This record gives sequence, C-alpha cells and structure tokens, in this order.
Amino acid sequence: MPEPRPFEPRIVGFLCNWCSYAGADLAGTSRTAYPPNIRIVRVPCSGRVDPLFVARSLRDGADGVLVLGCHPGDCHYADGNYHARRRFAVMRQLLVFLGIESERVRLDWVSASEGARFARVVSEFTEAVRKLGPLTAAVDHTIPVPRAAAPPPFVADPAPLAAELRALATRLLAERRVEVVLGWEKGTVRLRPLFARTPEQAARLEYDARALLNLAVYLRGLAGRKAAVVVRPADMRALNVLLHEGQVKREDLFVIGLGGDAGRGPLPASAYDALLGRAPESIDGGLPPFPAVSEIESWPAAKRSAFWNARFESCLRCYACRQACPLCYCTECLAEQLDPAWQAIAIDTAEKALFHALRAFHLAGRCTGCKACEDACPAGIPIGLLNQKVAKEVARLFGGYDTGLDPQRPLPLATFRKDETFTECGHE
Amino acid sequence: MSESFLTTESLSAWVDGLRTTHRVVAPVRCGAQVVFRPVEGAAEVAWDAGRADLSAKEHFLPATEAIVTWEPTESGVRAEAPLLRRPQVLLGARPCDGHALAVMDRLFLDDPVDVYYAERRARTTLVGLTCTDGPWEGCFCTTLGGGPAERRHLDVLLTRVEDGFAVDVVSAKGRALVASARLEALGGRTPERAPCVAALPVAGPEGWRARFDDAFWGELAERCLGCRTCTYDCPVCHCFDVRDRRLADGRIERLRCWDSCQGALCFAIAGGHNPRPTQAQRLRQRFMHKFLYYPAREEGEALCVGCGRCVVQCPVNVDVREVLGHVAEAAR
Repeated sequence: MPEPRPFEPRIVGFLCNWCSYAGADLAGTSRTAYPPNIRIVRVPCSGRVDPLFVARSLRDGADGVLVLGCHPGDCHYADGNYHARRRFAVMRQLLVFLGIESERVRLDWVSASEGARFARVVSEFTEAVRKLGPLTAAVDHTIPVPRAAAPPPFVADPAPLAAELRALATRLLAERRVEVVLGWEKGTVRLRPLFARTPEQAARLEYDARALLNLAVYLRGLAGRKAAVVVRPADMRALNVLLHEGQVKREDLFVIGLGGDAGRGPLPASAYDALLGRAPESIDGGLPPFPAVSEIESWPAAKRSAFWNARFESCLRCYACRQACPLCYCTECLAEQLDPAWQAIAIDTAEKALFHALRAFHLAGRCTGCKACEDACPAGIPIGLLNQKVAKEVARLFGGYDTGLDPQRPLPLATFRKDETFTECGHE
Repeated sequence: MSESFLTTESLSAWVDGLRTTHRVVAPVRCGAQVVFRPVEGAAEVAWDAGRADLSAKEHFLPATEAIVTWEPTESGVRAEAPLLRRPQVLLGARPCDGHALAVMDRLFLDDPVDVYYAERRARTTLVGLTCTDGPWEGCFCTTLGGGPAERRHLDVLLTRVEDGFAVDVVSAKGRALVASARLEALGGRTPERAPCVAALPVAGPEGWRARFDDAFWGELAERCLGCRTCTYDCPVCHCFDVRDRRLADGRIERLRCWDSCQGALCFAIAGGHNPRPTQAQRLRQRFMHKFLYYPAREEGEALCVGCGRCVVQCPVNVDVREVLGHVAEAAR
C-alpha cells in the first residue's frame, strides 16, 4: 500500500503592502527558508482585511488564515492596524465559538525590515495548523441546544399596560401629534405589528408576552413622518443605536417605552417621551450573564463545530433574522451582493454558516439583545447565542461597553485606543 | 377504498425492507422542527408529528442542486448532470403534499420538461397519511379542492385504525410498492375520521384583476418584513435562480437554488432596474401568481394547496386566508 500523503495545510496570508509584504520580500531576497504552504494576498493595509475575507477563506478550503500588518504606530495610513486589531480580536473569538480552533487564525505584525521574523511567524503558524489537521465540517444533530432557564414574563399582568397604551395612542392620534402609532394587534395566529393611523385603529392595540419582534425595524421606512413607536428596553437600546448611526431622527419620533417586571430595566425616563408600566429604579449597566454561551465555550472545538453545523443545516437562508433586525439595514446585503459575489446562492451549510458568522460580526457592539432575529426564525436557530457571544467579547475586550445605553458614546468597532493590546488576536 | 390493513409492526417491517431498494424520505424530528428527510429505518419516522414544518418540495426541487458539474481532466473537461437514479418513496406525505406535487407537475412536466424534476417524480412513490390528527393551525386545504382524506394525488393512502393502518392502494405504482408488505384484510376495523375545515370563498379571475391597484397590498406590505419564509416553506412556490460557482478543488458547479419573489433583488435586472421595487408589489405578485396568473394558465388550478405553513410561520402573520377573504369580499 502506498504511504498516505502527509497533510499539507493550505494557508492564506493577507499581507499589508507597506510592511509585511516588504518583509516577505526581504525574507525571499535574503534566502530565508519558510514553509511554502502560504499563499499570499497583498492588501493595502491590515485594516483592509474584512473579517469576511478570513471567514470566506476558511469556508473555501483554507486550513488557516494569517493576517500580517505594520507594527502598531507604524501604519502607513496612521490607524488602519488599530482598527484591524479590534476587529480581529472579536472575530477570532467568534470563529472559536463556532468551532474553529484558535490556532487557525492569527493577526500579527511584521515590518519591512523583519524578513527573519516573517519566516518565523509563518513557520510557527504553519506547524500549528499542520498539527490540527484539515478543517472538517462534521454535523451532529444530537447535541441539545443549551438553554438558559426561561426568564419570568417581561410584564406579569399585561392587561393594564395594554389599556394604558390604547389610551395614549388614541390621544396622540386624536390630537394629531403623530401620524401613526406602531404597536401590536391581535392577529390570526399571534400578536402582529399594527400601524395605527386613526383612533379607531388605535383601539385595536394589544400587548402581552406574545408581542414578538422589535418595532424599531419599521422606523427607517417611515422616515420624515411623525411616528410613535412602542419599545421595550432592548428595543429602545436598538433605537439608540439607530439614532447614533443617523438612520432615524429623534424629532420624528414619539417613543413610548414599556417598563417591565423582569429582565434588564428600562433606560432613564429621559430617553422616552412616555414611559408606561414599571418606572425605572436603577439602570443596570452591566451585561447579564449568558449561561448558555458559557456552556458552549466549555465544549471542545469539534463539538462546537458539529453543534453549529447542525443548527445552520436547518437554516433556510430565508433571511427572516436579517429582515427582522432593526440594525441590519444595508440596502444590499453582502450575502446577496452580485459584484463581487461574496456568497454563492447555494442554500448549503457552508454558505449559511458564513452568513450567520458575518451577520453576528456586523452586529458586534451594535446588537442589543432584543432577539427579534430569534422570534422571526422559522427554524428555531438560537441566533441570539452568536450575538450574546459577540456582546460578551466586546464588553470584555473594550471595557464593559453596554450597547445602546448612551447614544453619544462611539461604537466600539468604530474607535480604538493606541495603547491597547489583545492576546485574542493570536500574536505574541 | 381501503380494504387492506397493516399492523404497526408490519408497516415498520415493510419500511425497513424498502430501505434496501429505495431512498426512503419521511417526516422526522430534527431539532425544533419536523422535516422530510431520508431515513435509515422505520424507527426514525415521526408518524405522530402532525404536519411537517417544511414541505417535501426539497426532494423534488432541492433548495440547492448542482445541475451540471464540470471537472477538468487530462483529456479535457468532463461534465456530469446528477439525476436521481435510485427509486424514492415519500412516506407520510399528507394529501396536501400530494396535491402540491400535482400542481407543480403542471409546470415542470409541461414542455420543455424539467429533467431533474421529472426524473425524481417518475421514480417516486407517494405513500400518504390521512390527516385524522388534523386540522392544524392555518389549514385550509378544502378551499383549494383538497381534503384531509383526499386520495387522488397519492399512490397509497394510509389511514389510522386501531392497532395499525388501513391501506388504500390508489395507483399501479402504489400496488407494486405494497407487494412487499404483509397486508391483511381490513375486516371490521373502522378507519378514523379526518376532521374537515370549512372552505373559504375564493374570488374568480375578475375579482383578482379588480384588486390589482387596491391599497390593501400597501397596508399588508407595511408590516411584511420581506423575508422568504412564506416562499421557502411553501410546497408549491418554485422560483429558482441559476448561477455558477467554482469549488476549491477546481470543479465548477452550475447551481440551481431556490429563489423568492419576496427578496428585494429578485426582479432586479441589468442596468440597475427593478420592475417591482416595493414590497407591496412583490407581495401582490406572490398572491396574484397563486390565485390569478397560475390558474389562468393551468385550467383553474391555483398555486396553493392550503397547507397553512405560511400562515403559521410568517413572523408578522401575513395570512393568506385574510387575503383570500379580502379579495372575495371586495368582489362581492
């Protein structure tokens, strides 16, 4: 029998043009040996390396992805690598959560004069990936979804709240203070969104624990019209992100907050135009614990991978999660873009996994945990766990950031600090 | 009419036997869902799971199918079109699942014949199950000419009786398949009754045409999220897109994948034009296609079998029954 061919990992390297690519050149001209497994893609800056490139490479057959840029402080564009560093730290943690071993992805710094260092980094990385073997795509439907204990209902007795809501909405419409009130009404199988434009329609407003989704998703479509919207705490935080990103104007809105008996409390009363239900006692700024996320983190990588592949196999690629998300507002989603086509039209596990990874990453520091995506998903995929994992990492890495609480504070992936370092990037 | 009987054990033995010669597809519990999947044996089949969350469409018009694969070889390029060669059995199909295939047959088996669909259809035997456990939320098959015990579009129809199933052999294909089953005489056993839902009024073509510019579509679209859930869980929605992709090993696949009229880019054409730029137009297209355009071309057959999946799975409760009601009322 012939000897089985030893595994030769395929490594994709994204190298910054100004430092690392020149460093690779120097290694070459100095005749410094390094493993030939790496295929180099020259990019203008490590800041150009969209996490999409990394995820796409892994899905397309790369066994490892190495991103090399200028040392912090040396960026040709002043701060591209600072941005790359933040992004990479979050994305790598997300990929690990999805079951990709951390050794397969690394961001490191190589200057134009560091030919020997380039060779060493590539050798180390290649050997680490070689030890892991090829990236596999096992699927295991038998691993149960870890579920946190069901939280108590947001409002113990919703009937008085619904009555208050109807009274307020009727008044707002009768006094012509708003054109439309966005709330929920009784549907044929569940509560559903209602756009009430007359006091008669306002009388149909309902509220109870089956009021799903996040009504802030409709606000961009109503731009320029005076609208009242009913929001729970997580919905309000998402609305704050929309305000922060300039997607809606505060003066167009009459925000009706709902205070609940459970979960994270509402924002300060000043965030709302009216606050119904429980008044805020204290603002809990911290992130809640995510026990289900911790459980998945404790699994070995192969189990995490098989678990998530089973979840993504059930995905229909119907985009209900994206469409229900107030913060997924791109007019042309990466998943559907034609030129360049980052994703194939295939409704297969690899493309679906890529979509979910990218969506979770695009919501880093933005998702407020409203769970509209999970409400909308017809396949029951625990999408919220991906967002919770990212939120947890963002809070841990960037100093307890609490999304949507303060509309003035810069979004964590749109800013950086020069003096920060993250071992999560995989470098020394 | 049923005159034969299979004990639950004989049914399992029969299904296990079929596995050796057929690809057996049946409703199975998978995570939070009930879906039609190939099974390894009778033990996996979820006979008691009710209406599957997804239709059996996947096994006739797969969500993703490489209709041609090109492989570079030393002598040139080899092209391969993967057709289903192994005979297939669809177990536990409900009468509406059978009806749905009959509806799609009109399109896919008409000239020019879709060879991929035709091959699967020709090699598949449908073993249905009467909806004695229904109706489920959203069911309205009687409105579209179906019924919970409708045998017409199936090859074999099973109906629950005490200790097993009454077997109604509908077609010659069905007769060939049950040849390997240990059938007994039904005797005095009475099949369970299948509860019926009252049929809803449906407007005629004139009624639908008159509603083309109705403000109703805009109102409905206001809450519609523009996702694809309704079209992908639908047993008869059949839009697809075709594009090529290169695989890491150098092969090239021509993919045919489900597409949806509810996607904002579905109708986009060269030059940046989009003839249906609003969600209201896209929603109207979905319903007009189902109840006006398709019936006009297919002898009155609607592109809907009343399975109710879209009714329960739409995240914002866009309910086709309400649409039918609105148009019928306006037509009156």
